[in-house]
Amino acid sequence: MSWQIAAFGDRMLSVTSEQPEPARLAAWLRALQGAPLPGQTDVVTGMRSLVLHYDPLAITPTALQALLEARLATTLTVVNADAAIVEIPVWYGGRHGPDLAALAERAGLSEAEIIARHSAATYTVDLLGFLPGFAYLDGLDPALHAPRRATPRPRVPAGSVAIGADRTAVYPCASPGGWQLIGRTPVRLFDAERDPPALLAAGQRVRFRPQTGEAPFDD
Amino acid sequence: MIEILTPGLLTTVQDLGRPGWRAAGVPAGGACDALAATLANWLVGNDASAPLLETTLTGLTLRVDADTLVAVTGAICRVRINDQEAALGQPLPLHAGDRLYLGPARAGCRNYVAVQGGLAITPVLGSAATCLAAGFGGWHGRPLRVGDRLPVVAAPLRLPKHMQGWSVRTPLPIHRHGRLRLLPGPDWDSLSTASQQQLLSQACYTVSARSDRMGLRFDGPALERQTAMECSSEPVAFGTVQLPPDGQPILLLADAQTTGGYPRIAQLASVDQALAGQLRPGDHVRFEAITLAEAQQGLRQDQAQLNRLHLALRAKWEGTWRST
Repeated sequence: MSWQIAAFGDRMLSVTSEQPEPARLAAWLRALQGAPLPGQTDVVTGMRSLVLHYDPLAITPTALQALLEARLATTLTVVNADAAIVEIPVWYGGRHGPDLAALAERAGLSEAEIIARHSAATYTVDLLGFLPGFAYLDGLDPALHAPRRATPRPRVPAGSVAIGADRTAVYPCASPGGWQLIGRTPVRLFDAERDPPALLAAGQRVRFRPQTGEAPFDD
Repeated sequence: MIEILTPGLLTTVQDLGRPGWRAAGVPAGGACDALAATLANWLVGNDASAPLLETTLTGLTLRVDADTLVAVTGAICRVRINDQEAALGQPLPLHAGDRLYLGPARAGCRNYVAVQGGLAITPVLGSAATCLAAGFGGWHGRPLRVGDRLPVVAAPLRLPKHMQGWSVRTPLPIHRHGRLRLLPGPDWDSLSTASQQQLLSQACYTVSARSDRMGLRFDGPALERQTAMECSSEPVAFGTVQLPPDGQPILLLADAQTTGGYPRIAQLASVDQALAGQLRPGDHVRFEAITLAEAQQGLRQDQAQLNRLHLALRAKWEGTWRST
């Protein structure tokens, strides 16, 4: 098997694969969220592992591991090509994307080309982490890869569209941030009062749509 | 209603947290010392999960505008009601207009202040805990400030029949020198053998001032990786021990991010979580290995002890407890 299950402390099991497999992990995540195992209290994924939280007073790790193995073995991990793509409107550049100009210069491209390449791709959510609703997106054009800023900004506006290394993402709320800011969206990627609170989930597909005209931001 | 007169270093509304949302990037959060929080609530007749206050290091002062019952648990500190000394770990009747003062913590880090009925906080994602990173939950998603007036769930005031001479000492003693027991993490083997032995030997790690509700940082003998491996973003939790490039371990607490890119070298035994939640800058810690079987047995024993304590407290409320 290319993956194995092991205890991660006394309240978690970790399913780990040798290579990053976020798509398969996302399918397992949905299966376990949809039909929780006995004693399961939470489930969360990374790039190459899925962690199942459980109540050790409700089930032993041995019993849970057996159930988990059986569940994973019978979960189909076919990518649903018909699943809806989430479209995010973006006002690129200017004061909403303060790092766009420097990024363009570094890449030897015009700003317009950066925007075209960023909005041409269909991205896939690898995982959520860092902040509630922060989705790491895979599929960034290699020409747009850029290292994080040496000094993070103390405050990145909510909705900022950013690039960090080989990933792109949207900051769901104002926060300190070290990624390169290229635009901004009014879409709320996280709203604790909404159902579901996070707009994006692992395995979901995303596109960015460049917007023109006046941007709808107050701040 | 309780009014905050001085909020102290960091006081937030907490409860036992919101597990179940980590896949959305939402940490479970909640009280860093869930045991002390549970006891504070039980002492005033609340359910363990009732919303209450968590303070940090420097205490607080508040005023109540109606007769009520409060209890203070956690760090060792002075407690005063107006000018009268009062005790930790006891139900304390307050009259309308009374001021409750918690002094700076002499040992331990966090105090829990429960009010009978619980704070009237609308749950968000199933909990009243404050998510500071995203600014939701608790009291407007932020630390408490001077002048904040928090509503309390209305209920007829109930006092235990016998107010004298009963107190609860938090079962886990708060020492300046702590021992934390670790299970191997998914990346335990990324540590050099020498570093593995060093971490679990008598090596002393001192809690750094750069610690907060997200995690404890330490100053001590640097740990080394076996290989310079790139680490991907993987799930972490309260109690995960990470190894950043500078070799000083990080022990994550209740508000830690849900994923992290540093090697996860160890995981704290759950029975030691409450102890970790009370560590303060300057405390010395030694790490020890524990097996999964021992850790789970410890959990069962602690739960049994907690159940007995709960029954004893409820019996006191009904006045049926007899001294022997």
